[in-house]
Amino acid sequence: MSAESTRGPHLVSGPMTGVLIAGLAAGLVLITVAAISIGSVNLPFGAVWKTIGTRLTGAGAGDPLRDQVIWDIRTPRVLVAALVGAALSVAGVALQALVRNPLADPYILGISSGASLGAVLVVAFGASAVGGLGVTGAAFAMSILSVLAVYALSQRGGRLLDSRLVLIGVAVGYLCSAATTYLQLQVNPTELHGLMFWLMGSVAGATWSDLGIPAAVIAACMVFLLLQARNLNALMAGEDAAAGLGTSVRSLRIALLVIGSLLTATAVSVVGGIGFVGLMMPHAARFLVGGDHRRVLPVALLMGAVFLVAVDIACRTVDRPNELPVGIFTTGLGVPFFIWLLLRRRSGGA
Amino acid sequence: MRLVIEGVTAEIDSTPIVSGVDLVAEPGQFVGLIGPNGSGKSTLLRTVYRALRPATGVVSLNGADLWQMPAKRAARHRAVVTQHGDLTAEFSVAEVVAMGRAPHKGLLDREHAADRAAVAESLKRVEMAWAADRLFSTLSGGERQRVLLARALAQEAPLLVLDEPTNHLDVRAQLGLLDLIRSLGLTLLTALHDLDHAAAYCDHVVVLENGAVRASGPPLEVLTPEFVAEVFGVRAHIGPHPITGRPHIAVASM
Repeated sequence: MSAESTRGPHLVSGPMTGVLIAGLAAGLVLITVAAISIGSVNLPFGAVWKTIGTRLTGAGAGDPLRDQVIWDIRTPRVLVAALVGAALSVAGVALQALVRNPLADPYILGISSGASLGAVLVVAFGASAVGGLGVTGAAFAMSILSVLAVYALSQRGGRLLDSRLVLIGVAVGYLCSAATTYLQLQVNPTELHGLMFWLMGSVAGATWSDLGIPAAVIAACMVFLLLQARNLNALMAGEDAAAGLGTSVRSLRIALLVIGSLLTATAVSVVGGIGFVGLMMPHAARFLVGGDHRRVLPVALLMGAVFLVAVDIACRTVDRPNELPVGIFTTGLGVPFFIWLLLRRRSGGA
Repeated sequence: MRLVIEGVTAEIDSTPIVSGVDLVAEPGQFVGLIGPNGSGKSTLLRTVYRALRPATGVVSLNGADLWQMPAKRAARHRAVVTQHGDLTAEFSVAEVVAMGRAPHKGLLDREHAADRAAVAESLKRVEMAWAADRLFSTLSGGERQRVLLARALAQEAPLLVLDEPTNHLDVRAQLGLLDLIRSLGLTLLTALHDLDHAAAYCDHVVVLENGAVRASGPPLEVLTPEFVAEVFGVRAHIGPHPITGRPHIAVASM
């Protein structure tokens, strides 16, 4: 029965989990370098390594123009994609535990749309319109409001109803999207590009200054979630069973609500609304390592980062020289996945 | 572990479901909670496993108010097997039982040999050791119920609360489970549907009707034919079980 000697029922278990995490981390580094080297002008891998190396160590620089392209333009963009992928994926894990429903995702529950609305409010009317909050703060406030609305409306007799949750989430999301569209057209009827940004998401134009807040938020949320991993597992057994196992269900749920909103708002305020990453990545992680959050969390975080970097590469290369919004790809992959999950549940699957 | 429920009233959405219930379970006693559907059995149990805070009244273990202590400490004193035990993600049986160790673990603790031993021992006691590396979702209903019981045993709590543990089990699994929990030597508070099970297994029964205690005492003193007719609306014959010799209640519709 000891985890060391026997193989559990999951595809990856025991010490192999460490190998998987190390492999994903290595994969993230490789795909990051690949993503930096691919662009309107493809740069050799070696040059990318060299520039990153000299910038990190402070050694003498090479070709200054190439250095600038690699370090100031491409690197932050790729790192933002990785951070946003990680944030949305971890947000998905938190929300799925919160509502005890594997269909939960920041986008499906309307949180992304709420965050977009908050961000656009600031862009449209300035910070004073939303009580002096910045873009991230307003996005966070609106995402909390929308998740609270969804959470409250999906309950009956103190219990969350599966069937209502997704429908209410989608409805709230539509309402926020409509408001966002209206505001954008009011402010600047010609700037359709900006509208697309908040509705479909894009990592184009990210700079180094976009990285600090998301990195800090993700790190803080991950530490909290990992410390609460046993309680998150207990929550998967139902709120009553979790209470019996010594979990303070109510306070944990409030914390998860805040964390899910915070991660989503952070991602949205940097790159706009990107759907379904938080749905697909936690599922993929659980498919590999089972339901234990101590393994799901790091695996989902890394998979989310790798996934969004890969999607960003696709966005830049599929329709050259045009760049497609990231949301087209994540939604294109996510919707069939969502439908597949729904059908599997209806047919009595686990 | 002596459980005392004193004047407990519990509400769901401001509707009182349980009102002014008193109940005592002495150490080692098997206390059965019986009553028609909707009489408040599950709601009362939820106040004992801290899923629902009583509006008024006190639930105490050996004199300590259960709702005043930290959630983890409460979970070291009493474990629960709830009615709906399905999990929303794929866990191995060993992982499910290991959840029962959570009340004994600090935030940064890893699993120790003692935890693995407790998990293995709990699985052995419910005769499910063979399934440790199976997926929980692939087990039969009776097997799952045993695993959930093992999870509660892994908590090493002296009081065990069960909410209709024999629901959805076939007859053999029902009796097997009741024999098993009776043999554990724990204080038991169990909601039961089947009057015959209550008569055969319980030391003490508490009958709820419309959220209040209608009667309590040893099963044979409480469950007279007249009483059963009045509360449950069925005719009852009470006598020794033809096979086991234990108290037996046969029922028929009015």
